[in-house]
Formats: sequence, structure tokens, C-alpha cells
Amino acid sequence: MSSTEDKLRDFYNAEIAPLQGKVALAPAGPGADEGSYYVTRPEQARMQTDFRAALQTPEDIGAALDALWAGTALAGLGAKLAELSGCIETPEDTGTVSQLIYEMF
Amino acid sequence: MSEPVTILGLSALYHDSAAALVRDGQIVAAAQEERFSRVKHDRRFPVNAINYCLEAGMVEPDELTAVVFYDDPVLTTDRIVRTLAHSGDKGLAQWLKSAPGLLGAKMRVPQLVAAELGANLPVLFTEHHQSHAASAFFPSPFDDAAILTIDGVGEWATTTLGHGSGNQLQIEQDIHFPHSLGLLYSAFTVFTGFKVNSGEYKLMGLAPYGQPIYAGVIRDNLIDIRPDGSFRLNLDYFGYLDGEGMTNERFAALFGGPPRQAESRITQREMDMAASIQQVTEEAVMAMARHLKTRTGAANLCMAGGVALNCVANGKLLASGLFDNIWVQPAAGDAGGALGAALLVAHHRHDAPRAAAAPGRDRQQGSYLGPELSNEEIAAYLDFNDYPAHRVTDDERASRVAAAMAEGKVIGWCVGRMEYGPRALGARSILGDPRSAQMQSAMNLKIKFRESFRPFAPAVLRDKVADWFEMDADSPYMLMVAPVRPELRIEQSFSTAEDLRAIVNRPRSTIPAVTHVDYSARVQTVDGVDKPDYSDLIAAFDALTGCPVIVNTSFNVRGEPIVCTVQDAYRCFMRTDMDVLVLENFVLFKDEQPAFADSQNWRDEFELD
Repeated sequence: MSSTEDKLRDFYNAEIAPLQGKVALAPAGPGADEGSYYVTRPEQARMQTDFRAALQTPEDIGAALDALWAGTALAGLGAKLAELSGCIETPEDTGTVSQLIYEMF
Repeated sequence: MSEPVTILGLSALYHDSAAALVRDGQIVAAAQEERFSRVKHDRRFPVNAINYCLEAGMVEPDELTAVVFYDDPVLTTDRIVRTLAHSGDKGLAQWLKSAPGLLGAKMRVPQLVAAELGANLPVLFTEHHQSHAASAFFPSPFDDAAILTIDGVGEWATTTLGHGSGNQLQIEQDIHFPHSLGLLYSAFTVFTGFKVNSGEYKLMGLAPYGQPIYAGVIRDNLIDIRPDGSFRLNLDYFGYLDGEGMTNERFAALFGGPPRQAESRITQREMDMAASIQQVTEEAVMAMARHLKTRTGAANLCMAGGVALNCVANGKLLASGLFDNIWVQPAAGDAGGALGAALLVAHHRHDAPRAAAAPGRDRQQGSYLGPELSNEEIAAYLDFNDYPAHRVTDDERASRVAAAMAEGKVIGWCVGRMEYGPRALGARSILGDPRSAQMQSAMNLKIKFRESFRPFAPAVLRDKVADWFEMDADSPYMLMVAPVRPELRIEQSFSTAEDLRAIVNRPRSTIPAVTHVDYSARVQTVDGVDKPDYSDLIAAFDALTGCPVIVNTSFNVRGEPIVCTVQDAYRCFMRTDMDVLVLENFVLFKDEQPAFADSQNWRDEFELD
């Protein structure tokens, strides 16, 4: 087993697997009894203007995630993901996509 | 004079990587990485496509105003982490598979850009569905339109409803992952033995052979569609949250057994499943469109996202008259996100005006946005290899090729800038005579080496489309399906016990090669504005035969990206039963070519799609 895989496995077991049941899968939306499953965006989220210009490093992304996750069981995980990112080399991609599952990860 | 605002848009790292260059709000160039790398649906950072776009725009990397990536890494990471956390221990395998890409590439896009372009440029990010929405609205002919985007998944959104006006657009409502019409369709694609991301088109083509006997099962068990078109999936039947595949055993039990194995015989069950999911998809799309019409009051509709490539649903939406006009981005899948992201930054961040467009014309330039061959380059290649060819004028090319088609010859046609998007639109196409009853089967089996049931599309002169098909609208991107006119049909019926190949080979109209089993056709209308060489060819065929319709299919074999270069085109020509190859102003005949020593079997080179 490679050391990278060890690091990833350890991280998952320590930081992500224990979150099961503690975080919502998706952002809160309407329930089945409300007549519609559409989530209506608040006015300020409807038009893109800043284009995440402040996100230039993994640390920036980690900080943005922690801001998003403040007050939830995910709080603090953003900085840890950014730190882990620093240990992972950009993978050699074969360029093929999965045959069996939509590429969503 | 102020500096031009030059934006490079990128889509990458999931599937169908691409680059697009926009200057002062006008599209300069756009191309998919797969065309250069020769890897279908290539997801790698699109170095080759970027190089092409910069060259086409005659711009150095440090002259770019900004680079924009088509997806938001914060929201995507949020979804991935929450999905894995939801799975608990079962998510470990998915994490080990996806984490290197997430942590090593998707969180480091600015670093990848700096390394590949050799310049420190501001890197911006849009939301995935905002990219789709921008790709749908900004190149459209409309000043005002409702916008509908539907795909597998972006960050959280799988469907968005919005509105565009002038050089601005807004997303107003979403449906969130894991509830996804695109993923539902993909689940059926995999279950019926086709591949995700490429087999959805096959499933749609298979649908007319079946009966929608499972539509009720789907509505009762898999998806709850509200009257306003919003929907929710029953996740008990799907495996994609845990990365275990699209469907699970409960799904299989609903449809009477395990999934079909790829390349095995297609049975009536698969045909009926295809018909059923197609019907439910159309119901959902129609309901969403009605809701959007009520909400916006717009006369026009723009669409993008992978589900917008469902031209059968698009055709029914157009025929319904719900909107006066519909425009679908031809690169509706993720590749189009590169263009949408660039346009969104140009208009929203830099307030660039939209490109000028003649009345009724769009701003997509026919989607002929890729590289083109030069006669000098072709001549050098042919001379070097001693390949016999005939140099012709534009007029001679049209008349000679039309005559060859009328004799039943199959033509490889490489003229003008390559198409942006999954469809060949007459720049990298294989062409033939639609009046031949054997043409569909012959082209599928001897030239494309693909499944015999798959239909071919007609390209028809715009001013004669209503004489041949039940539509009188522009469809330049082959994204609308319409019925062949009743008086041209040959009435028939088939039983569910019949072999698929026997049904395929039965003539269904006077243009059987482009008439699907339900008399439908995926129409491309052609006029002389965006593509005069193609229009001239069809007009010459019409003058010879009285038929202003030709067969148009993509210039490739099964599993191969559409050809890009002279070398790609010649190799594909020689590997297949094509008769004539047109490379700009050079015409090559197969029977004049030297024996072709293929260094590689294409079946080994290209994985079947």
C-alpha cells in the first residue's frame, strides 16, 4: 500500500467516516408536503459577480469551506483538507472516464 | 483605445474537457480536448485545446484578462464531503478513488493553469449550471429568454431555472443532488448495457422500438414528479451515492432481472425500458418548461446541460408551441461549460456587450469554432505520402461529390472549421444518399462499426425543410427531432418478436436512411450563411436528384473522437468502407489509393463507446 493511500485512508477514517449521521446530505430544501421540490435562490445568490476571485490556493478553498461549514459538524475540516492537499501529488490522469458511474466526484 | 477583454474558459477534470476563447463578448474559438488527444470524453486538463484557442485568437497567455474554470471548487467539495459522510465506512473506496483528483487537481486549478500556461493569471470560478445557463443564453438569438439547464450534477444543482435579458442572466430555482433527471437517465443507460456519458444517445435511439410499459413503474417507484416539474428520486433504488454503480438490486428487481451485459443481444425489455424512461423524461421536461413559462412569461427558451441533448424531448417541446422559439446550446454537455464560463465572466464581470447578431441569427457561428485544415497543409501531407488526389474548385467539389453520393458512394467530408459540441454538422462528417434502403445498416456496420439500430440524421436545405419534415423552424445543430411528412412515409408495423436488424432494414419512407422506426428524424437545417460549402453540396445533390436531403453522421468510427487533422481523416477513411474523402479542395477516391498498412487495429486503439 502506498503512503499516499495510507494518508488518505487514515484521513477518511479519522475525519469523514465519523461524520455519518451528523451532517445533512444536501442543503435544506422544501419537503414533500410543500407542493414543489424546487429550491428558490435568495436574491443575492441569483447572479454571479465575484467569481470566487479570492480562491487561488488550496488554503483559500479550505478557508472558504470552513466559512461555509461554520457551526456544523464539518467545521474545521476545510483547513484539514487543504493541508492534506499539500501532501498529494497531482495525479497522472489516464484520461478515461468511468463506464459505470457518472463522473460526479 | 482600451485593451480588449479576453477570457479563456476551461472545463476539465470530470469529463469532456474543453477550452473556449471569448474577446469583448464575442466567441473567437472553442474546442474539446478529445479531438486533439484522441481519447473519447477526455477529462484531462485541456492543454491542446487551450493552445489551439490561443493560436486562433493570436493571443499570448499573459495577454489574457482572466482564465475561468466552469465549476465552483468550494461547493463541489462540499457536496463530495457530505456525500461521503452520508455513506460512512461504505464511502472509503470512493474516497480512495476520487481523493487524488479532488485534492491534487480540483483544489489546485490556479496552479495547474500557471504551470501549463506559464503565466500568473487571475483564475476565476463559476457555478457549473451558471456556465451551462450562460452557454445557452448568451450565444442565442434572443435578447430575452427563459433558461432551463438539466444534467447529471454540477456542484449541488442538477436542474436550474433562470432568466436572461441583455447581457445579464439569473438562476432563480434549482433542484439539488442527489435528485437528478440526468442521473436517472444515466441509470437506465447503464442498466440497459450502454455506457454512461456516451450511451444515453443510444438509449434514446432505442426508445421507438419499444413500448413504454414501465413508465408507471418508474413513476410509482423511482421518481415523484410534481405538477410544476420539480421532482425527487427514490434513492432506495440507486447506488451512486455510495459509488457502487448507478443502480442496485432493488432496481433490477423492478425490471425483472439483472442488467443487460454490454454488447449482448438487445431484448424487448431493454427497448421497453428505453421507451419508458424516454416518456417519463419528456413528461418532466415538459412540466418544467410549463412552470418556467408561467414564472417568466418569456416567449423564448434556451437550454443546456446533458439532458438538453435529448433531441426527441426538445422536438416535442418545440412542437407543443409552449415557447415561440427554442435554442439549445450545441455543446450542451460539460464541454460547453468552457464557453459559458468565459461568456459569463465577459458579460457579468466586465460588462461586455453581447456580440452583434443579424435578425433571427444566433451568435454561435454555426458552432464551427474549431481548427480548420489549410490546402497547403493537405497538399504537403498528400505529396509526402504519395496519396493520389484531385484538386478542385469549390464549385467542382460540390458537383463531383453530389454526383458520387447520387451513385450511392459514401463520403468523408472535412471542410472548414471543426465543430464544437458532440455532433458533426458538416465540417467533419460522413455523408451519403438518404434514399437508399440499405444505407443505414451499411453505414452503421461497415463504416461506423456501431449498433445497426442507430438512426442517422438528415441534413436538409432550410428553405425546403417543411417539404420533407413536419417542422418549419431552424435546427442548425441537429437538436430537434421532427416527423417525416406523412405523404413520404411507407406505412408499416412490426411485432415485438421481430429481430431488430430486420426492422431496421425495412424502408419506412422515401428517405429511409434517415427515417427512424417511428418516422422521426433528427433534423439539421442548412443554409448558406454559416456553412456555404455544405449548403452548396446539398443544393447540388438536390439539383441532381430532386432530394434536398443528405445523410450526415460524425466522421469517426465507434469509440473514436471525431477526426480533427488530415492524418485522422485519412486513417479513418482507409480503415472503413468510405468511398470518397474530401479534404478542403482535394478529393480522394478509395479505389485510387495505395494499399493501407494499418499499424494498429482501430478496435484496440479505441475502446467501444
